[in-house]
Amino acid sequence: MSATERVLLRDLDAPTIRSLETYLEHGGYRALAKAVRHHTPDEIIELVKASGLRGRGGAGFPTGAKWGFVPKDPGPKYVVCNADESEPGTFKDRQILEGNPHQLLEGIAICAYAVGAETAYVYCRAEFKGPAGILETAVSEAAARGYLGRDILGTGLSLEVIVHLGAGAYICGEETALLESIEGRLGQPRMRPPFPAISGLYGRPTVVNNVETLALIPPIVERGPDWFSAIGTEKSKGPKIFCLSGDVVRPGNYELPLGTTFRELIYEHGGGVPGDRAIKAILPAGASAPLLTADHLDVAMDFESVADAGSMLGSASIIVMDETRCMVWAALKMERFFEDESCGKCTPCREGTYWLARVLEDLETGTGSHSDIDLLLSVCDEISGNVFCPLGDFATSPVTSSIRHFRDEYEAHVTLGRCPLRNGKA
Amino acid sequence: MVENGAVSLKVDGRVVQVPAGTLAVEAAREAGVEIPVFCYHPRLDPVGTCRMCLVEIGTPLRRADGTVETDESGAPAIRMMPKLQTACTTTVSEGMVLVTDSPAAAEAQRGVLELLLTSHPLDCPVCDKGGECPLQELTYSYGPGKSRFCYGEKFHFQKPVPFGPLIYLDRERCILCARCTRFQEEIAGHPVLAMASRGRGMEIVTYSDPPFDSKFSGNTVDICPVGALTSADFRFRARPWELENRPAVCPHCPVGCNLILGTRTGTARRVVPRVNEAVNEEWICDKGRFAHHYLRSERRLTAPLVRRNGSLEPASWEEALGAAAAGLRKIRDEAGPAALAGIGSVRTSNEANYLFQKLLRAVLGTNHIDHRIEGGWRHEELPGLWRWQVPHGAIAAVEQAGMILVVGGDLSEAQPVLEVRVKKARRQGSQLVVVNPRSTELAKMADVWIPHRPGGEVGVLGGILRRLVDGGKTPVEPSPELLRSLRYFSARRVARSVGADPEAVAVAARAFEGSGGLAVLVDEGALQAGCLSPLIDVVALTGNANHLGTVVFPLRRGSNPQGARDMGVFPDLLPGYMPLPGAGADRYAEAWDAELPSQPGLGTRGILSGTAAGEIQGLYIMGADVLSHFPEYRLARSAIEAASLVIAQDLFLTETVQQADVVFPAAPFAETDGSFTNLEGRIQSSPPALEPWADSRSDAEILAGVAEALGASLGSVEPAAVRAEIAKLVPGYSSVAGRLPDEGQLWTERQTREWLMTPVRWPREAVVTADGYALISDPLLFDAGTMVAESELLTSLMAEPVVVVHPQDAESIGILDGDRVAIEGPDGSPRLAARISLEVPVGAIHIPRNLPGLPLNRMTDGADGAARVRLRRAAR
Repeated sequence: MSATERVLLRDLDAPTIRSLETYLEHGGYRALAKAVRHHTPDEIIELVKASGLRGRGGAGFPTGAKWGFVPKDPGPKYVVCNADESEPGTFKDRQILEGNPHQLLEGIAICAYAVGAETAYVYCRAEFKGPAGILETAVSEAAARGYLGRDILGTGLSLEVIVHLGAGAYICGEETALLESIEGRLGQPRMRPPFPAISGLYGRPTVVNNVETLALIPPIVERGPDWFSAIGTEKSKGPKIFCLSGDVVRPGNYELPLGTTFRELIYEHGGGVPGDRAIKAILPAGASAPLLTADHLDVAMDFESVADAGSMLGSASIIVMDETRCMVWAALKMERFFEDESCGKCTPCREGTYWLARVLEDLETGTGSHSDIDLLLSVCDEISGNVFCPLGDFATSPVTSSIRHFRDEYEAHVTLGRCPLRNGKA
Repeated sequence: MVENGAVSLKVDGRVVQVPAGTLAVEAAREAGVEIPVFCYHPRLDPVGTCRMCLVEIGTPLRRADGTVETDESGAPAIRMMPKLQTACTTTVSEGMVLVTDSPAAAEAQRGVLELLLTSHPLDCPVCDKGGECPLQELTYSYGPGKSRFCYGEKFHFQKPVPFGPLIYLDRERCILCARCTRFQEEIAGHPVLAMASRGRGMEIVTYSDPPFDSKFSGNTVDICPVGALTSADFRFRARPWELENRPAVCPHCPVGCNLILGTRTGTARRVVPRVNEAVNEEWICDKGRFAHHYLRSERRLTAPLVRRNGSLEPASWEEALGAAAAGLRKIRDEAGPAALAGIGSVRTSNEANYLFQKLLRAVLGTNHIDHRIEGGWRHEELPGLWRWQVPHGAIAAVEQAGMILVVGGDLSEAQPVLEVRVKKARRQGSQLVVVNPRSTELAKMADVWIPHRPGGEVGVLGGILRRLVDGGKTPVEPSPELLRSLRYFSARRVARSVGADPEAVAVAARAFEGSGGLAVLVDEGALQAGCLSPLIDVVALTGNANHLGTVVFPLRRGSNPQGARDMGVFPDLLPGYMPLPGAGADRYAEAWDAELPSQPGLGTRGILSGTAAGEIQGLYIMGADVLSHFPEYRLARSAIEAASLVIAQDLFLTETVQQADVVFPAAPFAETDGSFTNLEGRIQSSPPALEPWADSRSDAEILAGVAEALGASLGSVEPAAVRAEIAKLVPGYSSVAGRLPDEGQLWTERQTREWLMTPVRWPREAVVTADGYALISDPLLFDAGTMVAESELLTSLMAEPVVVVHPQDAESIGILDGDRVAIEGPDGSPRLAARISLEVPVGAIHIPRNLPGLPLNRMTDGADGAARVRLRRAAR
């Protein structure tokens, strides 16, 4: 695949592809027809396994394996599409929902066929009222033409797709909190095991996949697993949407093979940093993963390489911060986000995020002390590894990584009694 | 490892064996190691949220073939998990290693406490939980000495927030452990509390209307690990360490929940549950918890009263006892002992009831003795009858029952903690079948609910038996007599006669097949309709006779109805159900050193009729408000008026007491030493915690005083002496001779049951007349009883009198919801508001029993069975 051939962001090439007509003109729903007519459900699962597709929501878990965990016995099963796209700097799912909704629905339908589900939920974050409306229109269009609803393509299969709007909580992007929320409960993560594949929505086997993951299913089915696994790296296969934002000339979504370097993304596709300023830090996965520095520009953006560099690829929302950005300010901003979004279920995250933000506030405004820096690290220790779900672990990343790489900036805040980069205007 | 087998593991170096499936926190406890917890509670599903129980956990390293790798020393090689684990959510496995006191674990626990304390107000000096607060205690053991977050700022919320009249929430103190919300959802079955909002702003809210609408709300205060939930009753009343705590048995219903009565300066300050796995586990209802105020009510009788010139006046004990004795002697001498009668109590202790019947039989020489004033005076006609006077099985065994059958009544209001056990069994997979004309709380949650016309229980059970027999799959063959009798219980006839849906009956019958233990909970009213025999048929026919989970509990009114029965407060049965006349009576005559009347006496109704007719002249009434509760008000009234002597022994000036000639102020539970027998036949001791109020005396002392004034003696009435006597004379009570175990003693000398199948017969009462409405009068937990009405907290929860009418009937009467209707009774036409609801079947109305200002017995015609009343629209 050339870098310009897009299989996800197809609205860039065919702007009206959100309509069923255009989608069909571009070969839409052929993969679904192929799946239900020429493949058994198990064959679909094997095909997805063979492609090497890993979840695009952040964790990178092999999708085919996840589908394979769903028991074969009868009874209701569910497919849940996670469209609670809430990671700061992440805006890829939104573009799929708005620009290419039928491809997502086709992927959902194939997944439902593979695992034997007759009901699917698309859980959209509360702010996605617009995209959800577009998706609902697509659902009606598809159902009217027999791609969804009862008796899909004359096969006797059915699938009801329910578009569900959340109530505005970051934690509901965590799959079990998302399930709680659909069930009408407070969005808080569940204990695992059992995993959703065994006991998920309403206690039934459930596949939870990200929008981008499911949207990749139709091209995989249509073109075959070999096509897919030829793209990317050895362990991180296929194309990926990278959300580029921050101090770059051309922020936006870029669909590129996994393994593309930060440098290529930022400088070739993103047009570099405005004013040619130097890069100070890169957040590879929104607020949730440790920040990297300009030293890491040549790291390849695949799951393994970013991990080796001490961070996580996550949902690949790359936020660039140039040399004018204060790292204490950035950490505080992110910590306030986590403080606000901590669901409150477990003690270390609920209380710890509050104190991280509180101590950072003092440091940023120049009223902190040198010991506050170690206090921050100590609180991170109290949180990290001791929390109920990954949110708490994520919440320590901005603090520990910014101190690791930029401790001198923290010290300068204390010594100067103000932010050295913002002329005391903090 | 085989399932349910034992696994062995090591906790801080100590080897311990526990059943598979045990949680690490419990396994550690087994090994004598405490792992600190806040959110974990052994009776609630673990959630793992407070993170206080983080420990290091390792498991043996296994090779591909499953064998365990060993280290150089030959010991199993252990792979420790990279992160600390919550001991409350980890299930142990063979060879597991727990390290609870490592630096990492200690650091994590210290950290959790430090964080919890940062948003805690630390207002311990004015907190009611202080002194018995897990947060205080664990901070002392595991916490940091000082906080690193000294910002002079605390997390502030308006405090407190009332959750209804009983419970207050202090959100600043709450550590969001979710014990209360889980208790309400998992145990109480009233999910009316929830977490709202998120993060540090998260708070517990109640979303029911009225707020915290649950009869078990007080338990959340007990299990709250901080002072976030406090009870209106105990808030700022005393410090926990000032209380003198005494064990007691709850006096409000026959479940007999175990209590701890906390007293200070001679007053009860707090009632909390005492753990008894066999009875109440560790729960009590809000009545048991908050209704103790009657003990020190200003309306308690403080001194004896004697009627002089038509009015009751205070008198000395000597005068009152003398007046009682003189009156009794006069009647006995002039009209004979058969002119005297006694009505005992379903509330007083076994000892009081035993001495009561002894006084009447051995001293006064009469067998006109009964305790049943609200119905239930017909003995169930069964072979081996008396054995069925005693319940079968144990409360805890309900959990072993595959099927729970509840017939009549309203368990949720009348025996709430038994309902908790039913809900627990349900969660563990038991089926629930409810036979009840009303959609009670249990009916709503039942797998099968069979509504029927009031009084039609036997018809429904006959219908179920017929379906079982027709199905041909019963493990036990029906007896020929049973089979013959079932010819009259065709689905059509059952549907026509009692209005039971044939489909529901069929579904229930299918559920009974292979039910694996059958718990039968049958209300006194349904027993009165003749249900015991068909219920025994169901147990026998479904092969459940000898199943561990099979229980048969009659659910009677009062707190000690079983004790009153066991103690022989019957006209025709001596203590221990010795029938009269009979050779067995000699033993009692010998023991009491008295001539005993040999012929059976009259029951309550006979006593009252006899009194009204002048044949009986003297009534001795102990702990019974005949005028308020006997179903035939006019008969009771004319009896009391006709009697030349009425002696009453009670706590309050009840309607009956007001008409008495001699009144003795009695001391209730908590002021006297007594034993009580609960609905499963468990004899429990309730020692005194307070001095008798004012000049009141224990029932035993009063009865002994009367005997003495008559120149006779009841022997020693010291509690121990009376119990020794009971132990000798009452089969099954030998255990009361010594000190009863803390958990009480179930009847030890139970007779082998004879699960004989007997024919089912349509009762006469089931023949429905078209006239009027069938009256259902189920109880409410918070009624106007003297023991509730004295607690201000509870009176606010008391329902307004109301009559529940089916919409169809409402239309034919011409009323709308809230309209007033007149109940046309033989004694006036009280008016009350109508509530129109599908809760009752067509043709029936529900008026909750014993609501303020509404004595039901003024409205009924006193029929022994389903009463019928007329309704009309009252002028607006």
